Amino acid sequence: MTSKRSFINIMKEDMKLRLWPLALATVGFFFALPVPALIKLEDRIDMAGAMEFIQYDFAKNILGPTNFLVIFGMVIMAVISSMQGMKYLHNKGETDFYGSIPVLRSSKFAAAYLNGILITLVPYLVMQLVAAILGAAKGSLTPAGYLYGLMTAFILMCSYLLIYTIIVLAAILTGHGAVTVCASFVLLFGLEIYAMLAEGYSTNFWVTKYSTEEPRFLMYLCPFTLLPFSLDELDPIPYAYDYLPWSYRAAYGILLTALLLFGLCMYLIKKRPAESAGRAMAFAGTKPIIKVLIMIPVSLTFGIMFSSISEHGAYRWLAFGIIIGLILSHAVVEIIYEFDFKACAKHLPSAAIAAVITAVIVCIFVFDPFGYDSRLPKEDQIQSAAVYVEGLDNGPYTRSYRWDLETLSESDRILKEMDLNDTGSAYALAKAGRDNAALYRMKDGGPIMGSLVSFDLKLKSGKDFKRSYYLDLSDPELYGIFEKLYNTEEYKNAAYYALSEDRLPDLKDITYFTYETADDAKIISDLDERQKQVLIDAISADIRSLTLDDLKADAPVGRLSANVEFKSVQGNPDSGELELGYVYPSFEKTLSLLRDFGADTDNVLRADQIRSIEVSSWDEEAFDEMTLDVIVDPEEIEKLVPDLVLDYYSTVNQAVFGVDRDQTYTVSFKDRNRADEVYVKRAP
Amino acid sequence: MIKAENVTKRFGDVLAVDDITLQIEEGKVFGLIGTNGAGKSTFLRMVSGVLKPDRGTITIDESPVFENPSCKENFFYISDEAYFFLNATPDDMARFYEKCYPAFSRERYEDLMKRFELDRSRKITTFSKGMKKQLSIILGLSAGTKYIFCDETFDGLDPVMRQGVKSLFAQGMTDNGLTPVIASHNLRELEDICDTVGLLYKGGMLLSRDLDDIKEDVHKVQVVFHSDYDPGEIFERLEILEQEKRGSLYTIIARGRQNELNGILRESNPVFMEALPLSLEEIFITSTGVEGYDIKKIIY
Repeated sequence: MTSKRSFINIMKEDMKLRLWPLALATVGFFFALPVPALIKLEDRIDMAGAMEFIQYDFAKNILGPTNFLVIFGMVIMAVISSMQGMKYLHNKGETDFYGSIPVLRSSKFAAAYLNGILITLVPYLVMQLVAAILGAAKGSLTPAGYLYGLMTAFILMCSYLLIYTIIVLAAILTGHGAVTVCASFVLLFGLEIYAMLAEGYSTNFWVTKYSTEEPRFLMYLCPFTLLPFSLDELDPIPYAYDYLPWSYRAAYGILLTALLLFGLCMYLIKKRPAESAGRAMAFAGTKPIIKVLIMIPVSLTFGIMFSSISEHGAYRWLAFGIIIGLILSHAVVEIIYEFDFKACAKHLPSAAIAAVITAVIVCIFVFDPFGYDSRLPKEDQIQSAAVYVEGLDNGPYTRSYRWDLETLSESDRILKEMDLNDTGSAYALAKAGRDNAALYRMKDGGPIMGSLVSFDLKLKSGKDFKRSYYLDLSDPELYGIFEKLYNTEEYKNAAYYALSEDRLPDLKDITYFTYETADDAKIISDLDERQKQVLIDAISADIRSLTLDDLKADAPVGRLSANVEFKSVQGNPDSGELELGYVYPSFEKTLSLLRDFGADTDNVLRADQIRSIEVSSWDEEAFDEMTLDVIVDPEEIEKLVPDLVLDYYSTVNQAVFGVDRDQTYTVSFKDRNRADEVYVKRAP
Repeated sequence: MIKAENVTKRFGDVLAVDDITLQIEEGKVFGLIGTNGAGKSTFLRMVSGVLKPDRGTITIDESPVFENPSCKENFFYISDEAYFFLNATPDDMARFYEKCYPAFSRERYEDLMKRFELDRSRKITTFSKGMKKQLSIILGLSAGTKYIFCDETFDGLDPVMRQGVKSLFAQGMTDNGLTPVIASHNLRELEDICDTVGLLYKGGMLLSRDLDDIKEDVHKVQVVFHSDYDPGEIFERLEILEQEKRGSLYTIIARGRQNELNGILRESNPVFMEALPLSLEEIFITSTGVEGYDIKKIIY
């Protein structure tokens, strides 16, 4: 008799109450899988040799990761099935009912939890199978393609499970549906918000913080950002039906997290008092903790939001924002807890704790009591160093491309790959930067002089010490120290890709750009391997003999870029664009070769080509360009031309190459077919 | 036997049940009486294993009830707001309970549904409040459990139905040894059905006794003395709990054995003397000497 009360029976009974989400999932996945499959099959254009693409396209866009209807459906179903399945926890009648019948509450919960998974999984897999059968019947799907679909299902279901379990956890912790929605938001996005705030505050208030362009770790902290990230597939050449190892690792990680959270849910469901149905929070003891955990990020967000309003008095606005954030978040949380507006002034001690913690956090960032900005390892602890100067041989085009598992910013890549043996010089520069930062702090802000120089001091302990300092490289002493580093082989090998022959991928078409548009670019596509090698050798030699003084003296006259094909870490073919580097007037060998290959390298400005030069400046009041003068006198032009540099290239070496940006010079040529070019004047 | 020992339950700052110790014997109807907010429902929810006491223990037939499915097979709890699945019919609910309670009797369910003239295939959401109560009772009686816990179950039933339910309980007690535990704020609802009563007040148990025991010890007598007789001396010998005089008719509620009471009164050679049955109301009025307790609230 007791067997009637088996877990399967409990699940069956629970499922009877959950028919509408099941129907919704079935209909939803029908429209997300078989229907698009039919449309795709109907739109199929059979061409000779196209079958491989058709099959890959079907597998990827119908069963695979780019079927966004399925991903959207997964997220929606995770929300619906968790909320619907756990609503019994929030209703007094239902908690009385389930609490009094001879069924363990953990069994009832586990049955409801598992059904919530099956409600989505079964219709998804069935509809995927239907779509696969349709595709296979028309020859648009191979077994490998279907397997790819199943792998997608596995990765997607892992993400579903995590989002679903987090909302279930929120439902257990709360006693009311509306509060569950708020709690779900906190649990789903809380970690990411905390991390973003830490990143935001440290970037804003720690003057020496080295900021990467894409703090990748943020993606790990929220299931929603992790979901598309976990579907990182192999590049489709030649139609690889698989995911990156990262995707599988992410999926296993997500699955493990979801299972751990499920374990936590099972523990909590046994402890959860039935009388919490209808109340805001199920566990009274968690109320102040959760309140404090909510108040801190809200007040910090308000603080940073208000402090960004004004450049002057940013600290005043920071304090104002934090106080407003604390008051508002305290009031809102208390009103939600009690379902009573009058409760907004209750439980002030927990609000005071949140205020103190927030104040401590803000003080840590603003006053830097732990010396983040002043910290520097001892010189003898440094194994090697890497230096990246913003505004030195880096202009509008970065040299990053997908080379490794991840796309690195140029600064990240250079800091990663550079290993300077002259740690003494690097340390001296870092020390000067550190002292500069201390001065900046002492003056309580103000304009920062110099260029941003990022350091990665690689310690003997294996740790990395990364900081960004402002250094004035026009200072002869600092210039001299940096010049020593610049002239080293280690610096140039890391900073210039063209020098790293061992890492250079297979170069295809090489393009020489003389100006910013592609109109005057010369694509050199007919080079044989030997010619390519000669060109690489030439530019390598020119770069090796390039000095910091050269960069200080002249702006580039062009840049070299190449289409490349390479093998990814998995051994699969990949392609991209590689910037080989800027070409300077001192690059005689390279320029000579480029001329031989038919590129127009004669873009040096000559006075005899010029019809007129319009001098203009920016009028702040009128918020418009204002023409100051139009020079047509050949003598005046002759006098001016040696000091003019193309505006486009003027920023490439701004750390050492100074220009006067107060005025711009628009040059019109006698050759009326030649477009006007914008120049700036070298700094005196 | 249901045993509660030093049971306490708090909801935040509110002390809902305060250190209750109680025994409910098998085979008797136990009435749990108290004003709204006295703690009846909370106590019954703890006895049903819905709520976990903050302190104290509750056992049914010596097994702890909380999170104990085998213990819960022995009782059926009818909440004051009975819950039914969305869009369910009585048959759906019966099928569900059939899987929960090993002794659930389909025949009894069908028989009772017929007797109460309830449509087994009609959606319960279309039932009136009274019909839902009836259905809860039918399902509870069909579950074949040893105990049935009813929270304000008679509230909402018409007098005829109420009588019908009471007779079903009586039948269940006779046939299956059923022990109903009925919580109500209305004393008169329980008057003719309870064998034992527990009176709750502000979370505490004021009184829990067998009605027969109380009735054995307290009696109500109407007596008329000769006009020239002064009953003062007789009354002094009696332990009078309440006394009322209308004309020459005295109504006395006094403590003591019936024959002793009668004997003392007969010594005055009364013109008329008659023993009257005590109502539950009178039992409570006379048995609870708690200051400030408004007994009328649990009666009306």
